[in-house]
Amino acid sequence: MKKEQDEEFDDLFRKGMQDPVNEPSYREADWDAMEQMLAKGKKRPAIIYWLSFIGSAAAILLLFLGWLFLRPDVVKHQGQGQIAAAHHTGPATPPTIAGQQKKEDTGNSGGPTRQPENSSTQKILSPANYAKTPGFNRHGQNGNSFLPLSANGGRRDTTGYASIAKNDRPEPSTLAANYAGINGDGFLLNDQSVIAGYQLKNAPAVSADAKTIDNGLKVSRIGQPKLGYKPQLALGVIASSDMNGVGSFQQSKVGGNFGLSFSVGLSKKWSISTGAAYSIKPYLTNFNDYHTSYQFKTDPVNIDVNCRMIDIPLNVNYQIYNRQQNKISIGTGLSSYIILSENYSFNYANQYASGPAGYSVINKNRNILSIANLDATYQHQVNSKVGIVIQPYLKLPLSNVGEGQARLQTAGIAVGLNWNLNSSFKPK
Amino acid sequence: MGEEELHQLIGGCIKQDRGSQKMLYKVFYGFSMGICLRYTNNREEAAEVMNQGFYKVFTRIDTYDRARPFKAWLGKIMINVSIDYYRANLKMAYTEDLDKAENVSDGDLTDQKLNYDDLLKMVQKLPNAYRTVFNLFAIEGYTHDEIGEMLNISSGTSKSNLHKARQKLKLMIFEADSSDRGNNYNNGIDYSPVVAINKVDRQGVYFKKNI
Repeated sequence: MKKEQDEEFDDLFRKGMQDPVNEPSYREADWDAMEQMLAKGKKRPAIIYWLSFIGSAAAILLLFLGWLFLRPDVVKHQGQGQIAAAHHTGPATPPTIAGQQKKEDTGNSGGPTRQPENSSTQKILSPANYAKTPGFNRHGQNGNSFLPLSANGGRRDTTGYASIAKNDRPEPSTLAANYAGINGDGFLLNDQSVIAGYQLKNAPAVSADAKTIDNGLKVSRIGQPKLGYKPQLALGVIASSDMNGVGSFQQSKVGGNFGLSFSVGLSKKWSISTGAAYSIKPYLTNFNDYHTSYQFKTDPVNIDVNCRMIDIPLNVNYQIYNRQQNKISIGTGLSSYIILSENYSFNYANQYASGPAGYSVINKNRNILSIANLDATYQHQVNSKVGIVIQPYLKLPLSNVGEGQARLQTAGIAVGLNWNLNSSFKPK
Repeated sequence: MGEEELHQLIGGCIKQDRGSQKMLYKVFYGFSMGICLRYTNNREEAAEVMNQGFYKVFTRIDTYDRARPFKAWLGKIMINVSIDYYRANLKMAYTEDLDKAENVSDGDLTDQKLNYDDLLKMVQKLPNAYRTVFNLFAIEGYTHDEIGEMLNISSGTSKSNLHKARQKLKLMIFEADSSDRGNNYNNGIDYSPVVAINKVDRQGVYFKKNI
């Protein structure tokens, strides 16, 4: 009885309140407010995220510039011609990296040679001397292995390095640690080579280590470059903010990336670049674009996804404009995504419908070289070493991304700082 | 409006055409505002909540399944936004003195003609928690279990809140009846009466609907 009464009471209100005759009348002011929301909604997300990433990019730039200006200057290298000749007399083929070989030789094999007054050290590097000291050859080769050497040139470039007690010399491993991906062994090798340059009696020690040194030189070996061209190597730090969407950018979400880049100039206009960036990609995918074998009781309308991954691009760039300090180039290539984590959150039409709320996937999916990159780069050289980079880019999937197999596309702008690893010099 | 016209409007909204959006807004304004008014305290709050609902509609219109009725989809969004609003304001909720509501018996209610406005005012006067449960159960037709899930409460709490909501509403009707007896109930607004309720008898005569 009570239940019936309750139902009747409820009916009272239900019928009364749902009567269309009595619906509230339209107010234009409400539509004005609605229009403002719609107009604001389009602009707001991009601006807010942009600011945070510009801010972090600026902070990174400042840190880098600060570090650059606080450490000792790298001195230019000379006498590379002699070393080139010396190499040919050496018993083994020197492991080289394009461009590095020349400057590393002069800078490190025989100790500091930039100053003309160091002609004595230059003598050491002449072919005749090489013949006398077999170990020296090796070390001569080995002296020029890694990019970071120039960076660290400051330390070894100071004259009298050999006179510093061995224990006081900077540990090779700590020096090497400054450079991502550099093999500590290779660095150790260079130290030894410097020592050998001054103390020939150490030559046997060097040669004994040569094997390990050779084994240690696993970092990319590009064939010996022709004389006359100076391949530019650059290391960079980059941060970016971008829009991620599935199929289109209509429902895109803003994400960000931060990482390192490394580029090698192959010719005056062409270069290749690679790097690694930690990438946060949130996106919204419609249920139609979401692929799963799970049978939903109620299909979600869409799914919020948050992916964290390492993006490893491999791009070819072509320079289309280069004047004074400004350079514009366009590039394309392929990226690989190493997906570290994916979080899926289901949105149902009735927000509280019964069904899974979401799930996470850790360290499972990879897309190797299956994301197409397109970018345009504007670079402004602040000085011979440092450049500022602005790079709008587009990433289009050639395969599906993640557990949900989404065609995830990304468009954004990156800002970064580029640092030339080899300073300009003229071959003799 | 016709099926075809609605279809066209929705197509326009998908293309983010402002004209289509405005038209859709106007067409479903009354229906949407009606829902939101029930969950809020006044027209201004309701307008804000409704606009949030329409924002979701316009930004997610491409997820709407055209095979299903649009009004139902829209209604669900409005209800969800209203519940979000309720949950967001839980911290600021006030607790009213509800002891009075406990003592009203289930007698006949007054022989009054209560119009939409009156009913709405009464519902709006309810404390948030009771109002939301009452709306969801009595008007939207959800079960206590479903309500519990939506509001993050137990179904027992849902039942209790519903009971208290009803009691309070009955009390309001009774008070309205005793204070306004004989007055022009329409307050100048020309609404046709939608219900007629029997006399309330405090001695405990059973409630009888007289329609």
